[in-house]
Amino acid sequence: MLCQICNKAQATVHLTEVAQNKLARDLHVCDDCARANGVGYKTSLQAQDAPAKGNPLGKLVKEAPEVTCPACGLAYSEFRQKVRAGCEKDYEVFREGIVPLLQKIHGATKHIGKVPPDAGDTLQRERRLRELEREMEDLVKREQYEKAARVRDDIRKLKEEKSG
Amino acid sequence: MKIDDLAKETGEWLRGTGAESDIVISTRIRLARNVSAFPFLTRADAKERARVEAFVRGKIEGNRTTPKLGYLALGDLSAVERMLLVERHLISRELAASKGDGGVAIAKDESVSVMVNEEDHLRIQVIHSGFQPSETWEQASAVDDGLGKKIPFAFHPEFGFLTACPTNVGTGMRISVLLHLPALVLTKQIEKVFHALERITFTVRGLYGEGTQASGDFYQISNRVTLGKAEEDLVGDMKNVVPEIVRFERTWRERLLKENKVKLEDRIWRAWAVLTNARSISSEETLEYLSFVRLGVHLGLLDRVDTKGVNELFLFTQPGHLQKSSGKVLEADERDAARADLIRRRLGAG
Repeated sequence: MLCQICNKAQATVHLTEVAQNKLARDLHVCDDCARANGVGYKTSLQAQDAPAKGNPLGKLVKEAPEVTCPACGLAYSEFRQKVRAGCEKDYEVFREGIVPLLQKIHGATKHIGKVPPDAGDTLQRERRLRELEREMEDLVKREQYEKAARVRDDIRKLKEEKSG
Repeated sequence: MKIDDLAKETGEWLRGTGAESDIVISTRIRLARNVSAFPFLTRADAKERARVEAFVRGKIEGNRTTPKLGYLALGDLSAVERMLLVERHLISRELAASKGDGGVAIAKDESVSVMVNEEDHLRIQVIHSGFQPSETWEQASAVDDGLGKKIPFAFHPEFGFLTACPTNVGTGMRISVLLHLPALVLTKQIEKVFHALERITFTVRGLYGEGTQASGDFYQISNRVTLGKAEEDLVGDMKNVVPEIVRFERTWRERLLKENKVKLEDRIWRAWAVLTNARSISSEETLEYLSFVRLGVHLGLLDRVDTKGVNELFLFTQPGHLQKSSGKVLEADERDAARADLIRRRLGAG
């Protein structure tokens, strides 16, 4: 088969292009045209880095430039393979890959729950606010409007503290 | 703490008390926590594992705000004893199989336990009988607060509690409810429950956690998402979902009673007949028949045993418990004979 781009050389690279919501399209091109069009392919050694063998979750972790955590020595490629962090710093170091991963797993990227007792004042206050708001909603649902109004006042006070 | 004392009694979660305890066996909450400034266990060598264990153990034993917890070091436990702890839901299979330093701190009534050096440095667990999501959460949170005052947890203002696996990050919380759903299985309605649960990102598992088959009509449902929802939201989700499933199971139990009473009674009494007469019985067979007996007790069709008695048999017939009580390692066929003896004795059939 001849290359479908230059129509001269023998096609040695066989690609299947899968665009979103479209049928797959096969493309057969020669080596040179493939390179000229930015199709890189991996040697068998590089191919072993692919996450396919490791944790199935690895498929969800996107490719990103290789970085290594200065604290625990874990490399991003290894994180992709095992999908296990090596230390708390990894969440910052691999942030670029971790944020989209969390979005895929949890459908969210921001924690809105409990904070540890030694967390800073701002975090503690935010958590308290969320708790009070939940309590107020709950009281409104149960038609306990007087109590709900009191909670609303607490929320207002807490918000004023924050800005003040 | 001595494991021999533990083996004689059952944990609080098997007492068969608490709301909806005819259908809901237990409510369990697990919180994953790591100690700041220590590497996670995926990157810790033996020396670092030992340092983590010593640090956490010291803080647990010096902590007075939670119920008193007794510590069991993994290294001091035999394979059978580890198995026994897995069967009691006090440690995971993963911790039981792990090498190196680790352990578990357990409250006397077994409602609170803290695994040390499982996948994360700490796994705090609270488990109660029946459907008690709010109470279980309040207690888990109190234990967490108590330990959090002494241990600096790995926490990120944006991502929450940091865990080795990104599937646990955020709250680090897994709330699991263990349900007995024989009528839904018998009438093949159970698939509908699974589909409904999948849609709201709940996971269904067997009796003993990850990768286990549901056996004896027991199903464990738990949340899959841990980030972007507050702990109270996760508790609220359970409060919305579980009563629906319970109602569904009850409806089908009543229908079976009305439309197929003789057949149902026959299944239950045949199960009773096997359990009270068998001379050798496998663990799968035991679960299957005990499930029918349990159903019979709750439908008022069988009154020779109570819920607690049946629940205890589920536990005491597990391989770890059988071997612990007989005081020696038993081969599979020896276990089947010992199991049959135990069941006959406990059900008063000699």
